[in-house]
Amino acid sequence: MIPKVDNSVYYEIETPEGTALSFAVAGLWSRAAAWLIDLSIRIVIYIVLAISLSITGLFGQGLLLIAFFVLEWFYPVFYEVLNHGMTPGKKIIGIRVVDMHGLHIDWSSSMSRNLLRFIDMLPLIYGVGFISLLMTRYSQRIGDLVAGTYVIYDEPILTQSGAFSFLTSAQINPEFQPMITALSKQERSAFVSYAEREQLLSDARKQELLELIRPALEHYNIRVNTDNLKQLARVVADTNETI
Amino acid sequence: MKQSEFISQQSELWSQAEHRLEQKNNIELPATYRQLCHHLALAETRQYSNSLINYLRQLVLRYHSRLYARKNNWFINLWGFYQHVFPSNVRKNATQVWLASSLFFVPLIVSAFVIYFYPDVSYYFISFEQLAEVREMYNPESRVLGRERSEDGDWYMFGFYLYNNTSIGFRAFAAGLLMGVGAAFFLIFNAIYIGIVAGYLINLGYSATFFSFVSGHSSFELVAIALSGAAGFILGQSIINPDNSKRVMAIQLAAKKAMPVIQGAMSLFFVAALIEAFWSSTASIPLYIKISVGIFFWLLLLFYLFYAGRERVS
Repeated sequence: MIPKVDNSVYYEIETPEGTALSFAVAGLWSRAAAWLIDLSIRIVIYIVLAISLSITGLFGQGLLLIAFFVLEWFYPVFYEVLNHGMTPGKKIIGIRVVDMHGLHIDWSSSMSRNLLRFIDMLPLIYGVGFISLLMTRYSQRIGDLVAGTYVIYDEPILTQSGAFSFLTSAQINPEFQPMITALSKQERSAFVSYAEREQLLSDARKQELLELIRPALEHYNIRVNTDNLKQLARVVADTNETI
Repeated sequence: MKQSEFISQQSELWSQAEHRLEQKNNIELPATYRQLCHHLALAETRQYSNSLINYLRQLVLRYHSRLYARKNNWFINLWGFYQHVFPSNVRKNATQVWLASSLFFVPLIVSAFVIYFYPDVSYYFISFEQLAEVREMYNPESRVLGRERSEDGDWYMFGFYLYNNTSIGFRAFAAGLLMGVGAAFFLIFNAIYIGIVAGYLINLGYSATFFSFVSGHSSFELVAIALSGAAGFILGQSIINPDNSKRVMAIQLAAKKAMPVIQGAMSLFFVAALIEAFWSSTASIPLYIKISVGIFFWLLLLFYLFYAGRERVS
């Protein structure tokens, strides 16, 4: 369902309603970055605790050890279970953990994947995890394989007013009608996709992409520019019906 | 139907659907979800534009993870966990538990006896400085048992034992994934270490202070280590013998089986650290009380693991 135009790997599930859903799997670097952020956060906590507890003597050191124990083993578990699969680092990077059904993970899976972190960290700085990430189809470390979890990109929430609102709101320009039939179905959907993604592209890239379609349209005396692009796209999108 | 018509007809419903997701409990959620699945299927077969399909797909996804979410009632089930889940899962995996126990307690007892008769052998395994430190800790003349400490040192020792011992257990569990070899290594290594220290101190004639210190928490701590190893063996066994399922599936199943055991072991480590820090080190309590309490804890724990949570057969 998702056109495979990028290098992402998609983990696909099918819901009981028969709807196929897919998740873009997070790769090595985004996961490493998230881990690094989490590590920094923990180090800052340790430093703050060590300084503030130093006045309380051995009692404070005991608390520090307890904090160390809890944070080293359970920091990811608490966040992943209570914060929809996202530790602070993962949230900043925009990735999260899901289980094999694409749902938020539970205590047991989270504990499995985080206790098994010990194996992934062997022999040093995640050597085993690194190899496992590169060798598995969905970039899973050993802990993920054992717990049956996947780390995927968390898409920002889309709104109606965002992406496709212009498809109903743009003016209809009748003079565009004749050229539509000249474009193949694939060309039409490519064109609409371009119009939808236009605001995400740089000016240079826009020019480059428009050059590809310009000759076909100029044949019908239509000049595409940023002003009439959306009007044109609406007309094209509305002819895309097959049923 | 033209895409723009479709959007203008349904956009009201989609806005409502977005709104309903924000609410805590909405009776309309399942019906809305099915409607959205239908719209997504329509949009895909009619080959509407990607932005529309992506929008619907994401809405369906958010509904899916909302409606099918498991309740995270781990804390609520805590009572049930200790009442039957933990002990019955220990018994369900009896093979691995017995294997781990024998790999732990046999080397422990053997090395303790060997060192008792040949104390010099201990210097092959443990450095001179470490043994001197151990000797100092259990010297009958010292005021407190175990590591030297001031009044609020109990808390420090609690943190130390909690971190140190539980981490050993967790590592033994994780290392079990290496076909059980890692778990066996951690079990035997720790057993020999503990055995040597025990044999060495008894040989020195420090047995009163030694047993006074260890008797209280020994049951919880030693059983917790053995159970951690057993949880590791559950993982390891699934790799060696995955039965009829794919190896990855077998491991995932084994991890689910091992979880209650390692979570229970974690609680035992916690109890052991509490006893070790606040009870075992008090030198003022007479030896016979400490030994009796230790034996009581052993019986209590074994009785719990063997008999708790059995279902009544009528």
